[in-house]
Amino acid sequence: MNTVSIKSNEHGINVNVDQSPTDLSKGSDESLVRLIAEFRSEEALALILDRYRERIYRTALKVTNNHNDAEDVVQEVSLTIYRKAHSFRTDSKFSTWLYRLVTNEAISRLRKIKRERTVSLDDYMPRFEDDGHHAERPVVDWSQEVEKKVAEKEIQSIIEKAMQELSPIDRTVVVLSEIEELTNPEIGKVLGLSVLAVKGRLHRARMFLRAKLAVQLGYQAG
Amino acid sequence: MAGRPKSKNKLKTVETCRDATSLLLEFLSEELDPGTNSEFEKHLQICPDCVAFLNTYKKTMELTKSFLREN
Ligand SMILES: [Zn+2]
Repeated sequence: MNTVSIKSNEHGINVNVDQSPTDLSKGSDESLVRLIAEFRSEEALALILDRYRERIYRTALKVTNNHNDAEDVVQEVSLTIYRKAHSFRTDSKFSTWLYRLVTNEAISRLRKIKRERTVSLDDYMPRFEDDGHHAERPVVDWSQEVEKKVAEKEIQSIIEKAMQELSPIDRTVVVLSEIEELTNPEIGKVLGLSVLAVKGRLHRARMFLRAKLAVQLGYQAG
Repeated sequence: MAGRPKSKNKLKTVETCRDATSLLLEFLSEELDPGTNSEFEKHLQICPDCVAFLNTYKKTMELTKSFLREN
């Protein structure tokens, strides 16, 4: 492993050249990425990976639904951080940049191996009368009874299956929102979508998942 | 700029279930301007169907989150 042994900093970047590994470990994400970009520091890369490996893996796993793919994404993203550190803009948030690398890699993997979904979300959207009322009335409130009526494992399998029917992008939006808890503008930055587009995708994905649960419980989708 | 960004949304009327359903996401993330928010709540008071839809939409989010965290 290389060590950081730079004697001077001609770029005027605020890098402490005598940092020992323990000092380095206190550095901000952004400063570590600069060390990688400027000095190809593998130590800085290792520290970044210590901090984010689990998050990279978790996000990749939720998007790909496959442990091997998720491991591959971790490998590939590790290399990409090293290779593309120079393209990280220091005025942006490291985690946003990282999520972009992770989701790009996971989505492109899915596109290579899987056919696009055939389910149209439109078939699962709530329907309304001309006057704007719900077409299926009454709408049943199953929120209190779902867990009594259906075993947890079964609920999980309904959601897992429905998640797989979402397009890779829609699934990624759900993962970033519901588990990584990114805001809609952040998700937009990661995926290159407008905030409006993020909200639209998230709302439709939620209504799709809701309809899938409702139907499995024996109720009307909407 | 710190704090909550100003909403650019104009007051939207919530006259129908279709209107209410389209605003669910923003209602739950507290992004609606106060006027639209109270219109939304007024609709809920007179419409059990939208209450049921809202409750099951929220429940779906909750179940999705716990599914994603479990595995
Ligand atoms: Zn209604």
